[in-house]
Amino acid sequence: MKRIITSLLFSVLLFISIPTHTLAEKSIQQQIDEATIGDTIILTDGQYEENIVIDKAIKLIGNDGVTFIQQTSEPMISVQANDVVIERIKIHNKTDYEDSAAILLNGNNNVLKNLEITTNGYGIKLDQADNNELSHITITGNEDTPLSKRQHGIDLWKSHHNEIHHTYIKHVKDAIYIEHSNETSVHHNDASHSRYGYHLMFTKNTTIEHNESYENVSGMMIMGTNGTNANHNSLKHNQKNVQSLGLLLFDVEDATITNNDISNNRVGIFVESASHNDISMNNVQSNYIGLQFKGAKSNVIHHNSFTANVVQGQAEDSSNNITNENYWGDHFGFDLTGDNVSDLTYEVHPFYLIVTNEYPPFQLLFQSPGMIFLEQLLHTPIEERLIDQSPLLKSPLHNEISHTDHQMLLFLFSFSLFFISLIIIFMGVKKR
Amino acid sequence: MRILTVAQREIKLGFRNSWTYSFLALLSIFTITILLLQSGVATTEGYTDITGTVMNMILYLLPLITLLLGSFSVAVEKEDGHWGLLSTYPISTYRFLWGKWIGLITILLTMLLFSFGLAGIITVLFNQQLSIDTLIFFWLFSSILAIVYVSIALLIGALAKNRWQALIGGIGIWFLTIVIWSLLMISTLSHLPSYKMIQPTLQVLTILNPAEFVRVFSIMRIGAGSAFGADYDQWITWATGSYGVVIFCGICIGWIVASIYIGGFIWNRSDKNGRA
Repeated sequence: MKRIITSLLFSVLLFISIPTHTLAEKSIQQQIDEATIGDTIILTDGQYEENIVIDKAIKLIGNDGVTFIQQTSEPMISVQANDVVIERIKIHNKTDYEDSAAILLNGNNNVLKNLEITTNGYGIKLDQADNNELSHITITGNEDTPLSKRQHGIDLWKSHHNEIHHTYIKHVKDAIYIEHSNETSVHHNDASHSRYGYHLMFTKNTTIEHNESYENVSGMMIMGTNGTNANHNSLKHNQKNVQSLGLLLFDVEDATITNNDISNNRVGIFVESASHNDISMNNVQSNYIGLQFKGAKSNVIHHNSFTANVVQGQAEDSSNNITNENYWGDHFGFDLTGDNVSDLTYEVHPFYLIVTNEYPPFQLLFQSPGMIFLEQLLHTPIEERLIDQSPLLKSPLHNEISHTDHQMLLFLFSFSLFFISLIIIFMGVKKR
Repeated sequence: MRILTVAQREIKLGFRNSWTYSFLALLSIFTITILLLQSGVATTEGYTDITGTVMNMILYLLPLITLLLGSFSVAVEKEDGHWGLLSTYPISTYRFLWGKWIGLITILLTMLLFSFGLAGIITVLFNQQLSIDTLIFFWLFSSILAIVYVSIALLIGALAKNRWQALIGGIGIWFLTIVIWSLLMISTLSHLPSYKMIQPTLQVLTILNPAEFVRVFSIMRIGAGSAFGADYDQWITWATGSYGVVIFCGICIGWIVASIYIGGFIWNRSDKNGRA
């Protein structure tokens, strides 16, 4: 009897609640749950605060007025299925949970497009998700958070064959971080004001092309990878930190690094414990140190242009790299045979590097006038030097010399200096 | 006798001295040639090879010229007996040295105005790439070096009895602070009992060497402090911070005042001993 009453009461309650519920708009999760494979859910303008899980192949399309406000540590949108499309939505992560992700992808063949994410945690996380395409995505971290507390913009873990392009990422830890993931294609992205622009760890056959990385601690960190292709990237102004590097190749094998523009970094290209890499046609310009080797073997560095670097190159324990046929801006060559290759070798003394490696505090003597005197004075064994046996006399790159347009101002300034000095001299001589 | 009277006399003598003009010519030729010798890359942005080279060239030449001009200027007064005459007026050695300092600075800064102005005009005429910021940076860098080194030169002059001693003192200080500084630091400091002592010792010694101090500070100010590596993160922080310039000026002024007062003090004592 008691049971009958309860069930009656329950059905009455249910009866009352149903009409009120259908009047209110369905939650997105409900719409997803009710959708069948291949359906498109179009979101209406407004702010949404619910976390959603997509577990079937549907399209979720928003527009400029659709904003998700993330308030929990759970991912705002979690994609657990294949062939899902998410387009035109904004996600604003207000939480302080560092580990929260705006979007988590666990499936394959998904498309994320035209998204705008501001976050204190991760932007987009791919965990064992393959063949996905991420494009036209803006991810902005929190500028005021210290680097150590930020998370990556896009984070790939054991995810293969993914394509990431046309993303704009700033104020995060690493803009694009790829670990244990193979055959990734990263192109036309823009990374700035973060720790590293692009960070590859233990990846195979990654292609990373036409990307920009500037004002980060370091531009591009390639570590423990095999068969990486990094071409036509622009790595600039990664110099403010004492650890800053333009491009790092650490424990890397069989990478091809060509046609990159690496300028105004602390160290342009740093090659450490790496072997069998081909570095060519890069423009390495105005870095404090152009090219630095440490324990690197059997790499071929050719047809690069090294200009206006404070120190062109340094090498240590790196005897059998081939560094011939590069263009060195400070080399005054001599060509007897007319083949545009200098008959004088170009050498870089490793003295500073040897000393500062043993005693890092002596880095304060970087480019001290006496240091240059010392390098001339002391003889270092030839096998420890960075040598170009056949330096090029012309840059292999089409170098357009940038013209400063303040020449008139410079002239007026110089002329006034000169004129003032003449007046002082005249007055000085004339005086009683 | 007032400080300014000494300064005026110094300026007059300076600009009538053929040595001033030979140094002026040397400085100008050298500034022009290094600014013309560029690798075809515009030096618009911060610390590059040309910035480094020009700074080093300035460091090689300018302190030497300053030390010689300054120390001779005082030593000559003693050797030619002018000081003997002047000291019959009520003037202290301190005031005399301050007057000399003002006079010599006027001369040196004028020389720098002349050579950088001329070099700037010529780089424009030769259509070379040089940004106005870079030129101002070099000019300021040289001026600060000259201002500090003049006071050291006066100290040497005050200690020297004649031109020869001034010459040897000047070259000695130049050699110590510029040429063999790195060698000296590396060879001695690497033998310190503890590795951890190297950095603080080197920092203190760098403050005691005006050439290194001005060089390191200047590089940090143009935003290239990271070139010195992780050990100097704190230095970079204060140098580029809002009080950086104040601390820097404070240390430079400390250098100047200390040199002149030590010089004046020792000169006074040797004068008294001489008469006794």
